Amino acid sequence: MNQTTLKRHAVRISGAGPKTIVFAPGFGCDQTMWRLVAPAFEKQFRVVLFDYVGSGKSDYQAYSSETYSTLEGYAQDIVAIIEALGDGKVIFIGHSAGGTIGMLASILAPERFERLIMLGPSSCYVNAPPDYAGGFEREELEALIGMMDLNYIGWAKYLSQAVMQNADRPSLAGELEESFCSTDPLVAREFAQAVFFSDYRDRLQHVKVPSLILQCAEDIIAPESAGAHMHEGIAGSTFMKMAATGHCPHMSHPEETIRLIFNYLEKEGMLDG
Amino acid sequence: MDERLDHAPCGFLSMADDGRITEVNQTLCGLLGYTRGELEGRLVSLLMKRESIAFYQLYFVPMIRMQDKVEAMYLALLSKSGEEVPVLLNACRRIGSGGPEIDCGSPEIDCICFPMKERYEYEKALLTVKQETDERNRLKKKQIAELECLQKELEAKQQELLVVNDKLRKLADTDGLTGLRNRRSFHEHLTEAVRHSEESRQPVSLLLIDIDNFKLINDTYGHLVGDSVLQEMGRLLTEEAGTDNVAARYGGEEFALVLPASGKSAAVALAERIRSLVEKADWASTAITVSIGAATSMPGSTELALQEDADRALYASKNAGRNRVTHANHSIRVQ
Repeated sequence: MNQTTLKRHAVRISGAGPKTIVFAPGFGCDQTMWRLVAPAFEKQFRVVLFDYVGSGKSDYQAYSSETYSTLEGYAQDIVAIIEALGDGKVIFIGHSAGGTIGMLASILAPERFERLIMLGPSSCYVNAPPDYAGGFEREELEALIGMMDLNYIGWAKYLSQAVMQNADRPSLAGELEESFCSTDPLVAREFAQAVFFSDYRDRLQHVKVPSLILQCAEDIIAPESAGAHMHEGIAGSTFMKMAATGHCPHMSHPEETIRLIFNYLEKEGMLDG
Repeated sequence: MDERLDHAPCGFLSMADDGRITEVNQTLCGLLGYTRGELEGRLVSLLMKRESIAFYQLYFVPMIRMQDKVEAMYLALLSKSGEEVPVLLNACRRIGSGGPEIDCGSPEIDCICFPMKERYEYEKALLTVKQETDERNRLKKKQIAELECLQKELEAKQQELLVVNDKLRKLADTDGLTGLRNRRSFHEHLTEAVRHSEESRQPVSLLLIDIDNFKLINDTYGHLVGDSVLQEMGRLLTEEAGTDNVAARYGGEEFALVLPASGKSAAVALAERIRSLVEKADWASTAITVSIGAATSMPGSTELALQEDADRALYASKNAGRNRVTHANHSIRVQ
């Protein structure tokens, strides 16, 4: 295993089983987002969690605005992580932008993907009338990013670094560091730009890995029209509507999320040794 | 609801995990222009603009589930009349106390919020300044990087220039045929050697070496042979000069050796050694000999005087029958 890659992405491996599941976090947060879901798979699978460069406990030094100005940069990292894990295929489960990143990675290295499961994904967030409803007007997405700025998203890391230099108050730095949304402010902003202003609709036809799209109810970020568009674009994909509302079912409705993923894997014969 | 909470100086709202509003106080109803009946039982997203709902789903929901609390979150609420109401919000999630609308044991999320109109404007202004500063810093970094790049290029060019200069200097200082120093360079060295001799109070000597009957060699064997004799002489003198002394081609068939820190006897000894080596050497064409004039500086002697002395000594050697060494000071004549 390539320890450098694993360390760069703060990869954590738990559980045991003949097959490997990689859980990819969604926009803006780190691997702890999977806390309520991932443990349920540890009995039957080797479970892999990781952070994107620039968030969580990853190596912030490895961040470059050039590489990560589009989701392709993140997708290349996914392929590197899978290669670092050893030979063989993985079942990839990605939330939100993590699903899109996984989709791009599966186009780069289809032979390394057994299944692709996307939770609340969207290939394009901006409306493209008359045929496509991504859910947002451009100005609304800009307002969303403005709201991130006003909420100091990503400032936690920035502040904690400032506090770190203050030897008198090391405990405060520790607390801020623990925040699960701790990302560098620049990274948070560039990630938001990369996610919300991307349009990967033309890539859907290139996905060759059997895929599942889990669609939440009342998800304003990835509305049903966006999920259904992905389902239509990806040949042979499965589309499943959840009772869960909102955009983060793995946190708000972990039981349903676990159940639906298990059902799918069972149906696909992924549970047999 | 408790009377004081109902009219507390902050908005209060309680909701279930799915966002359904269970309780709301009068203060919040007043702030947003709703009646209690219009809000209770509705989804909290009713109170937000689209970008706020997106932000709520992206950040509020994960945070409240992962940490059971949200602190100082800024959200833009929406009044019944469609007006934007920026608020600052704190929330906590806990297992229900069994309020009227909630099943005992299910989690409830309590939120307090207060409007932050002026502070919002202030923070927006701060943010704008910060963004401008960030942009300026980014530009500055970029410019610095460009400058560093240019500086590296400049340094590389300067290095190239130094190499070229060095090559040119060598070319300008070198006699093309023999590879020895040319007359110009010889003068520089002599001047420097004389100056140094004054400072260090050590003598400097000069040898002028002339190939005997060189015109005859040229006339008999041709210029190519003459040239090769000059080249061979250059090699011999370079070897004999060693690292301490400087050998140069002084003119046609005339050579010079500057011997810093050498007195009369050392100069004469070296001159004699050279004369003898030339005489015994196996020249391809014919036997060759040299006449040598040596001179050694006295305190206060100039470069010009030294050259004249050596020249005079060389003439003396020639006049005495060639193939010999003469020192100017005492007209010492060897052989």
